[in-house]
Order: sequence, then structure tokens, then C-alpha cells
Amino acid sequence: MKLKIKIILIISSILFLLYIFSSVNKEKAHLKYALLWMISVVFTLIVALFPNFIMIIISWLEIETISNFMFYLAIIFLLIICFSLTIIVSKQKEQILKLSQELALSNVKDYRGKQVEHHEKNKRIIQ
Amino acid sequence: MKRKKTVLIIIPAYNEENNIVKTINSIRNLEIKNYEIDYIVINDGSIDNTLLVLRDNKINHLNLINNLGIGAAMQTGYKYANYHNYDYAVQFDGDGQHNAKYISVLLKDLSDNNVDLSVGSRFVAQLSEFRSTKIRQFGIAFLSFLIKITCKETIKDVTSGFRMCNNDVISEFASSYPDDYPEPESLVVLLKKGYKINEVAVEMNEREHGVSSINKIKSIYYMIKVSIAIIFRSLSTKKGE
Repeated sequence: MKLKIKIILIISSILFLLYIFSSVNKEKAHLKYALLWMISVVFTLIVALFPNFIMIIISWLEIETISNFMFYLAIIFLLIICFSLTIIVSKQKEQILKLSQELALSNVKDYRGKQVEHHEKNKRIIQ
Repeated sequence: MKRKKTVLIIIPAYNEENNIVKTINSIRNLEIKNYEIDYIVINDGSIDNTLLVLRDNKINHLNLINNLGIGAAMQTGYKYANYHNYDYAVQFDGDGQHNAKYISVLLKDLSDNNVDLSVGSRFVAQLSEFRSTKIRQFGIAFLSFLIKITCKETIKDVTSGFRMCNNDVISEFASSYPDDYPEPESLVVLLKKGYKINEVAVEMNEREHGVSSINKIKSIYYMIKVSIAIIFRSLSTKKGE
């Protein structure tokens, strides 16, 4: 690996990692969600620091150059992170849905204008 | 005449339709001299008949329509305690693992020893017959060690959910409580902010829980995540009290 690209990778990885740490610290990003990012950046850092070790894996995988491998890695990580975000967003949609519905049902008034209590009925009934 | 001090028992419950009545019965008639004891069950979006059971048995509860996890559910209890200005709050499991007769022991520790949080521990004295599996014990010991080197405090039972705190900690937790691994992380949060924590020996009951290979993998995954979380919390430079 050429020295210039190695230095750029190492510095940018460290800076990005510090930014992720700072975001978690200030509670801007949840640790749970930031973990995947941290793993990705740490992995990139390792590859940049120890290219010789990576060469073995690359030749076994029959990839031509280290930079091809880096692109491949970056895309894989981004795909995984993206999909995990999709899962998180889906869960949040479900929660917002439930909140909105509960709010609407909790404000039900009978014809005299009195507030009627709403309770979610469960499917199974205990005898 | 001095007013009685108030204690709130916070009982988070997720799918505890079979256990919750038993648990409530064990604390409903709890009386401690000079203290007023209340309880609140936090239904964490149970998908079984927990809510029905709570209503039918007239059990005092708060209903979360989404399942938010133990951290957020517990925090809901703390917000309730804070809003109603309780002097003390004690976390109590809804599945019957915790023993009600030790609530007074925790209370005594808080009031006598001037600490902010008292942890009911299985590992301080050989009181508890049930102390969990060997693997779990090792995990707990490791986390305890981690907290020792990051916060310089020795607490043995770091995953015990059976703990009582005073009014200061109640308002602390009401405003911020760790979401994912609240038991060990909350200890780190408090220690970093200078609160005093003590451990007292208690008995706990065995939970009817099967150990499968799936749980083993999840446990390792949990251990790694908690450890990272503890390290992060201890390094947090967010300004506290």
C-alpha cells in the first residue's frame, strides 16, 4: 500500500472515530447504533495499519488490489449499516403508529361529551 | 409531628400474567414502621393478558403501549416517583425473583448509612441459596471487575435489579437512565457523579428459566456490549453534579 494513501486512511479513520465517540458521549448518537459504525472504522484502520496481513486474505479471495478490497469492504459495511437502519426505522414506525392510534382512541367522548376510557382488548381471554 | 417518609416500589412487568398477582400479594401488605409504602407496576407493552390481570385485580399500574425495554420502563417508574416526590424508590422484579422481606433491609441501609443507592446483593454474604449459574457468576464477576477498574468502587452484584435509592437519585434517574443495560451502567453513571453506593446481602428466588444454546450466544453478545457500554460511560466527560 502506498504511504500517502495509508496516512490519509489512518488519519481520517481516527478523526471519524473520535467524532463518533464524541457523538456518543454527548448523547447525540445511541451507543447501540454507533457500534456498527465503530466496528467498520476500526476494521478500516486495521487494514490500513497492517496491509501485509490483509494481502493474504486478498490473494486467497483472488481480489486484484488492496484498493478494490477497500471499496468492497466499504460497500459491505454501508449496506449492513443501511439495512440495520431500515430495521430501526420500521420499529419506530410501528411505535409511532401505536402512539397515534392510542391518542385518538383515548380521546373518545360519548354522545354526552364525557371522556370514555379506552382499553386495548387482548385476544386471549383468561377464564 | 414529622410526616412519614414515603417509599415507592417500582415493579416493571413484561408478559407476567402468571406471576404478577403473586408478586403484588407479597408486597401489598408490607408495613414498615414510620414509612408509607406504595407500589406501581409498569406494564411494558405486554402482549399477554398482563394488563387485564392488572385491571381485574385493581393493581396500581402505568400502561406503556409500546414495549420500551427494562431501562425505559424502569425510568417511567422513576419519573412517577419523582413527580410524586417519593423519598425512596425500590426496584422490584415482577416475576417473583426478589424477596419482599429484604425491602426493609435496603431501606435501613439507606437511612442508617447515608448512602444514595443500596444494592441487594447475592454475593456479599452466603445468604442466597440461589446465586445463578457458574457462567453467569463469571460474567457478573467480570463486569464487577470492569466497574472496579473504571470507577474504583467494588460492587459485587452489578446486575442485581433489586436496589433502592433516595430522592436525589430518583430525580437523577427520572431525567436520565441508561436504556440498554441499566443495571451495571446506572451504577457507573452514579459513581461518576459522586453518589454513594452500598451493597447488602439479600436472598433471591430462582427464576424458572431454561438455559438453551441460544441463550448462551446471546449472553456472550450481551457481555461484550455491556462491557463496551461501561467503558464508554466511565469515560464520559459530560458534566454532572
